[in-house]
Amino acid sequence: MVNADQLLVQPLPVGSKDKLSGGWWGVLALIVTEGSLFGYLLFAYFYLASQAEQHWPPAGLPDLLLPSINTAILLASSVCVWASERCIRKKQTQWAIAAMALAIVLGAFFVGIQLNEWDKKTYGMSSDLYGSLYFTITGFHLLHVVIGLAILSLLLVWISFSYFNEKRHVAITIGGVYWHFVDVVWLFVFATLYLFPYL
Amino acid sequence: MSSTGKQDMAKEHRAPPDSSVSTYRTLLALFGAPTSWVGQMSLSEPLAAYACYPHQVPLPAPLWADLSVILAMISLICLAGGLLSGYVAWNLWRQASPRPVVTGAGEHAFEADGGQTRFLARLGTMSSFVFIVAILFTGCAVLLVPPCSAWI
Amino acid sequence: MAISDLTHSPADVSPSDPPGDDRLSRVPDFGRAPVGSAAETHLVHIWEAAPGWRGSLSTVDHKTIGLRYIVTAFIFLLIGGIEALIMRLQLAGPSLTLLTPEQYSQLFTMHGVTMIFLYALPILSGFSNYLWPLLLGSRDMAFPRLNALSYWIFLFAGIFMYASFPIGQAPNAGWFNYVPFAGPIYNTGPNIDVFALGMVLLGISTTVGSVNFVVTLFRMRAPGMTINRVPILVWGTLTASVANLLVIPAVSLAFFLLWLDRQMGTYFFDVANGGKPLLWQHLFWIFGHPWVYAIVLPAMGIVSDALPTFCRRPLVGYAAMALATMATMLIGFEVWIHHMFATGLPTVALSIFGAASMVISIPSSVAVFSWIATIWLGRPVFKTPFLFFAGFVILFVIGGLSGVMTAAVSLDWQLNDTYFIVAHLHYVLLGINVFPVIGGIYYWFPKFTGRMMDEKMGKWSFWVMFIGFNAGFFPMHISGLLGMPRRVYTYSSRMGWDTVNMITSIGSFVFAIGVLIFLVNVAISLKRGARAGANPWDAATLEWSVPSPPPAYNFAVIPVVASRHPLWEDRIGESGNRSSLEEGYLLMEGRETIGTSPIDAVPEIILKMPDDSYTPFFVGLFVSLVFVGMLLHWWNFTGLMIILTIVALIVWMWPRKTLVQRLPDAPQREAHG
Repeated sequence: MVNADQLLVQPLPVGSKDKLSGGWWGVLALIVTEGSLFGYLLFAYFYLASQAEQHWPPAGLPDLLLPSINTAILLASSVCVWASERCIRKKQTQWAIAAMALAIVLGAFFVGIQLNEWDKKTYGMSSDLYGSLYFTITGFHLLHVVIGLAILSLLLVWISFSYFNEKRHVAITIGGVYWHFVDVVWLFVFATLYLFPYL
Repeated sequence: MSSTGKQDMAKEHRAPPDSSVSTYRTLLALFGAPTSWVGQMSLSEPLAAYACYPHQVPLPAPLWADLSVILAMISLICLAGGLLSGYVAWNLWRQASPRPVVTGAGEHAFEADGGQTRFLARLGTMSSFVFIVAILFTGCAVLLVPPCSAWI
Repeated sequence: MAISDLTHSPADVSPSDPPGDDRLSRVPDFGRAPVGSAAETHLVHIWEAAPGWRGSLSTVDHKTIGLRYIVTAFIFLLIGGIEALIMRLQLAGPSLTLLTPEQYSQLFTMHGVTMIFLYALPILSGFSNYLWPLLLGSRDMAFPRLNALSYWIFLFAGIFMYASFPIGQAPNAGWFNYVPFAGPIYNTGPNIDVFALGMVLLGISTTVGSVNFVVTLFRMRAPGMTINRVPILVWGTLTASVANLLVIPAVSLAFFLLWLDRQMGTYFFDVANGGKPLLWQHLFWIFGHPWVYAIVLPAMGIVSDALPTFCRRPLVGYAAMALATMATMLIGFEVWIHHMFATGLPTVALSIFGAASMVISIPSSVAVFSWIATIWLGRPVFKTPFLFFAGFVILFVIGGLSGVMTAAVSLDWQLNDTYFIVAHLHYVLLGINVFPVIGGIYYWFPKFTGRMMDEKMGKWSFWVMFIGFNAGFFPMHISGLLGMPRRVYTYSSRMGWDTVNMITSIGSFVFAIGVLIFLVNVAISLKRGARAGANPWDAATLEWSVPSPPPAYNFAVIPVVASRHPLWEDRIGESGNRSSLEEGYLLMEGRETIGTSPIDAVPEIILKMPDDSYTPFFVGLFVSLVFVGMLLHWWNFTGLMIILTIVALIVWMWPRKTLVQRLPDAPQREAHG
């Protein structure tokens, strides 16, 4: 692998360098634990749904059109974050700023549409068991999206302050992977709450 | 593989040409059997529980007549997974040469391989053994206990 | 974990950094820094915390944090112990009226909560925090500030959970807090809300602590400490931490849903509206059973690392022990339903879990035989720590056997919710946690303080504790078999349980006297103990290569490790190579340590470590106040505290030049195109 003498004279990178940094490993661990959290939320949903006596969901099958568009919006914003990091690597800071800003706008759209979805529901958190589940699960996810948006906004500020270049930009890598995680989790939430009742 | 000389194998582990393949094999050896067992448990338990007690009242017979067959099939498939993982682990272990002796190394030398390859292979073998036993135990429970019976 | 990163070697990365810019990459200096040299003085200057209260609020030194964890958790042990003694007074005879039923309920709940959540894991986190970097040859944990945050939240969560105790409204539904009794209909006071929110808060502390341990193991080992050379304590805490990452969300979610049910009118556990009480039990025990292993595996690691020192030989079956540790936990993920055998689940479902529970006896036996073989093949030195570790092995066997018994579904139905279970869980928790912990304190006290503990008092404390423990808890098996249910506040003398209960109560007080002797020993030894050198026990692992107590920077040079027993190499001689402890990486341009690859421990990066900081304290404080606001329904206050938390976190996360998270004032900054 590496021979000893070579090792002693080999220059090593200093500080938070990409995926060698502690932060990258830390965010992976965070994703594992957050992923488990959503796993347990969905477990609670399936556990209660499988034993439900009455029709499930009680208010009838959910409308799919707007939530599907919303899913696409969220995924598009993930692509923008990915592009932003790529632009930093290619020394195109202006494009990186633009892509990150677009990602934030798309994320904000997702939040707006989701809040509108909540508004349209005829039931609430405390009207029946399904309502409790629906609002708790989507609420948890929405909270994560809002936190993710806050992180993306910070990254936007930092990029525009020229804090990063192609050699040091681990914050974008870390914040980016968290945002991708939030988006992937949505696919599971979407499949559970919107697609599963159609089976 | 087994015909390769010891010298060659030592070289192979000092400088693995396709380290990603070997990483995947090590991961399979370490976690294949546990994953199979966890899969067996997580599939069998909800099926067995739901089939006999779907709603408010326990049923005298399972919802699906061939529940036992389904459970047995799950156990068999998972056992196959465990055995595969055990086979990979066993091979890895046999290939992992005894620790290469570093000759003429300086005072502060890094060994290329301090035995970690062999160690991981050994862990894989032992983990496969424990979890194959676990799969068999769980399988026994499925085979011996009639579904939906009352404990008398 | 990204697999490709496991095999990352520095050869892949360094060429991208231009040679000459030593802010972004440099060849680390290799050399010596003996005590008193200019280099060593410089290190002290870099690493030492500020004096006074500023230093104590802002320090991120893992040794300080570790000792704080140990002391705080031990205080919780004493509080929980006093609660137990009061209960034993109430149960010493039939029909006593020292306590009302409600007081008794609150006492046994707080006893369980305190011991299981506020003592058992935190004390092990304390040991691991103190010892990990020393065992691994690093200058600190991977995330020193996160480490401080973890402690502060633990402390505040402990205070939070005790907040309603003085007004007689403490949690009262048992530590596993079953609904519907813990639900809004039957439990209307603040009791359960305190518990629910406190547990979510404590979960944050445990989670960030676990992240820290996992990343530290994979990134912070000394060069040459390949994965097959890490001490068993590290395996134990690693396994426990991975488990915590996976299961803490289950219990945090359960308690949060319960809080929603109680305060926001949801129906998760409400039978009348389609909710399921068994959902609580599933979520709780999915967490609860792995947690039981999380609070014993690191303690087993303490024994596996310290016992060989007193047997004068390496541990027998290192690989088997490492595997037993991990296998126990993996099996532990899939046995939670054995806590729910009496809930009416269908028979096949129960049998599967009964069979799985019995499998645990395989790795447990491997571990036990490993320890026995180490003693058998070694030349035991009967010092106090050895007595505690040997006693631990005996108690582990007794507790393990009663565990296998209750894994059988039919027998468990007979024993469920009786004192037999109480006996079993105390044998495993005191036997596998408290005995190794006290043995561990005797063992590492010289490292912590620079002084030895008194040997004569130590032996007294062991024998009094060991006899008191067995006199106190063994009869509980019998009262359980006689049918005495747990959690009853009194009993009638016609039940025939008088004698066993009296013996139990006497035994528990004898045990308490043993703990008292230990405490007196600590107090006296702190002041008057014999001075200890760097390695008073002639032990084998890296923490004994540094002075006692260790300097703020831990290692003057980062050692290069060539075997599992760096300090015993001259007499074991199993490898041609020798570890290099005097000469190693110097790394003194600010707080620095080396980052190595996860499996092979090849140096990959020079990690910049953060300076002391107040932000962990303030983040911890504000987060805790968020929960206070939620408990009291002060929504504006809660909102304000959330904003303050976010501000503190932004300050914390702001990229720093000193950590090279952003561009340092570089000679050549590119023009942006």
